[in-house]
Amino acid sequence: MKFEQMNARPRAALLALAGLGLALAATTLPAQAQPKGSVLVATSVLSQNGDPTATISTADYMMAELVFDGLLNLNEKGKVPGLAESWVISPDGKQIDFKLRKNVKFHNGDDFSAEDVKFTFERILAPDSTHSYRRGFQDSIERVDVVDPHTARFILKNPWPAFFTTARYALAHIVPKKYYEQVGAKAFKEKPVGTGPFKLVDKKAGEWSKFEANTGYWGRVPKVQFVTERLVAEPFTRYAMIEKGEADIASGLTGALLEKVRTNKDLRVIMSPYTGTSGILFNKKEFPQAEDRRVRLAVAHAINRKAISENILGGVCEPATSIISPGTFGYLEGVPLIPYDPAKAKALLKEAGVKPDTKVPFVYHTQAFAALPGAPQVLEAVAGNLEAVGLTIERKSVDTDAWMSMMRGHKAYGIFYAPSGTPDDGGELINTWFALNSAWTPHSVQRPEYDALFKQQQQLADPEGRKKLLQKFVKMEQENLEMVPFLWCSTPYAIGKRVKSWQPAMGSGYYLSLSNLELND
Amino acid sequence: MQALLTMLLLSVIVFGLSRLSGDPVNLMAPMEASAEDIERIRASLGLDKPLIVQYWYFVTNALQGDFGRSIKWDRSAAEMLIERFPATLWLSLASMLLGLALALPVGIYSAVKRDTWFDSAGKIVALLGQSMPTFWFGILLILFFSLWFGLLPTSGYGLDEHIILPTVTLGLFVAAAIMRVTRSAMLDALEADYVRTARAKGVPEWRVIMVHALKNGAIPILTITALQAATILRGAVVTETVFAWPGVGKIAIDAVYGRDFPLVQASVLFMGVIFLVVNFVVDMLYVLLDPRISYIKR
Repeated sequence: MKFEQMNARPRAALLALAGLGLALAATTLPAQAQPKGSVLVATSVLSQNGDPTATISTADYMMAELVFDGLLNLNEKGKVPGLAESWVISPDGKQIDFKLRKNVKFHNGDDFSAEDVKFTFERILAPDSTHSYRRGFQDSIERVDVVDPHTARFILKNPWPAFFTTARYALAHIVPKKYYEQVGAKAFKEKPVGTGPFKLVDKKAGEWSKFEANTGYWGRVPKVQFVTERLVAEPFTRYAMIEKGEADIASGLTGALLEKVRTNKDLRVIMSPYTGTSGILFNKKEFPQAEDRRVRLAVAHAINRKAISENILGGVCEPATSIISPGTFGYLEGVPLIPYDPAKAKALLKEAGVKPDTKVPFVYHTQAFAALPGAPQVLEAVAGNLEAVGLTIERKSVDTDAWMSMMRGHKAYGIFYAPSGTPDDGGELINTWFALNSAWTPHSVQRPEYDALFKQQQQLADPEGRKKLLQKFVKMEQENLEMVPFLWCSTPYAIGKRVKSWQPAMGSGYYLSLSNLELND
Repeated sequence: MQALLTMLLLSVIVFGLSRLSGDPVNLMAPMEASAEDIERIRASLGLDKPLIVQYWYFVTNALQGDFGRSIKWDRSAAEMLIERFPATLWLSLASMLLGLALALPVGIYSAVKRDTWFDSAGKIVALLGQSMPTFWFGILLILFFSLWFGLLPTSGYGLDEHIILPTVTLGLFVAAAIMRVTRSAMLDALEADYVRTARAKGVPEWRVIMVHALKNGAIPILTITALQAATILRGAVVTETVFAWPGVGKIAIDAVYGRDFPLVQASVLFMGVIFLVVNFVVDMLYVLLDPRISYIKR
């Protein structure tokens, strides 16, 4: 007897077993869109650090921006007065009086006052502070005094004009002294209380955070009731969630997926403009020929920035004319773009005596991160461009961790990518990449005049004069070409059809400015 | 004893490998952080101590059930894993059930219908199932069932239908291997003398297949099934990421990318324990299936 001749019962059992699998797969149920008034953000990065006095990285703004306010706030227009209504800077630039907003309450009902401002900055400056940018505050702040409940006085060690133009200083989020001291740092981190447009309702570590609108907000009261940020690591899944209407905002999409969003009539791409800038730098110890300006200019002519921004990055980035982008304090208009001209690049290399088989180590980053969208494809294209003009490129693969330790150890390879994810202040960019002992470069840029300019602008209290100085730097660098300008990038968000209008904040990939978001329902 | 040694060895390997892989502070601190700030963060995490001291802390604390705090999420690593374990367990069981439900009937029938079109089709399906990367298959399922046909949610956790796509992704993957082993085990068994004897004495064919042959072919099938339990855990890492399924695998991969040492250590050890338990259960099942196997020394 063969299988066909089996008794009906066991045969049916076998078939039922096989059918079970198919039945499982065929169950049909509609997927759920978010309930009315609720917004779901499918995010590629999730930060749940509830204590802004212990900021680890700019990604921590994800939570801080919703729950807290700074003396200044960041929205779609840029930096605007937040808890400080106005301020007066003393003539010597070493004292700032902040006039604080009245009738502002923390989420727990406590009144906001100058004591909270003093407390917050003292926490950041404290010896045991884990605030990553503590150093910048320490270098400039002597102390904070309470003049009256609505006036906080900053006594500075030196003029600090960059305070107002640099996000990590100006936006320092204010915590409530009373509640913070009452519950302690650890509990505060879990259940943060601020004055911001949203309250933290609940969170699950590594998965999601849920926020509710603060209806008593002093500023623009959110038009949505709930916001959930959910970590979805796979880009395709984030895309699918947007297309299917499960999520309303998806971050971290580039290339083909972003193109799919663009071509879908129900979906839109919205940019947070100028959240990144980058250039190509040289480690002259490893690639000594780069001492010759002609070699650096050859590299500039060799790279097809336009093709990279359009074809690989889908318009998220545009060719840069300088490291100081249009979103950066100190931007200079009218600097010409160095054109893509491989023939000229070849000629320049020949002129400089660089032999065609010269081996050049090249930093090849294998992961994309906020300040480096579309890597490694972008870097592969650059390597290809350089090979096309006759250099022999040795790709040195690094992931983000290895990249960070390489950069911090001043050990970047011959030609390397120099990005910045918070390009808000030109002075800070000079400090990072061009100062004599810059934290990041292998100290290949040895120009005392840059260092002098950096120190001069650091002390200059007058914003207009400072801007002029930074623009002067752009002109000098245009001549010297220590860094080949590469790309200015924005942060793209895919949004679904439920979203009526929304504009994320300017100049930060982590400030969503969700209080201006409006839904169709 | 053996299991304890295995766990100890595993702890050394995990500890060593994660330390070799890099430095979490590099990823945590912002680009502009100064060298002292980085040192300060490193010290606050205890990462400035000599490796052997770090390992000693790790083992002694782990023995007391304390696997440290996740660097990235600032929560107890053990708590995070326990919280996530139900999601992984649920997905693994469902996938294994689906895998067996597909593999056993098809495998058995392929053996019975050797070299027919059904057998060939089974071979192709098994080959596909084994060679298709799970993340790609998962993405295809989302594309077909969520976007094109709009039947199922793309990802997530909480509703019954959320489990279907990840289960199919993992289930088909394990089914393929079990299917092939079932087929060959059954082929061997069906050619054995006792099967001929059974047929000769007039035992109905379904009994011959399902009782006489299957019971004897069960040991390799059980072995491969146990091995597939490990595959499921491995596959869960990828599948959970694609479907945003909040399980142990997803948190493990996030931890690896973030160099979140305590969480990496805890999750790998956790998976190690599960694997040892599965192996133990299988060893016990061997005894039930084959009376010739005994673990009691005579």
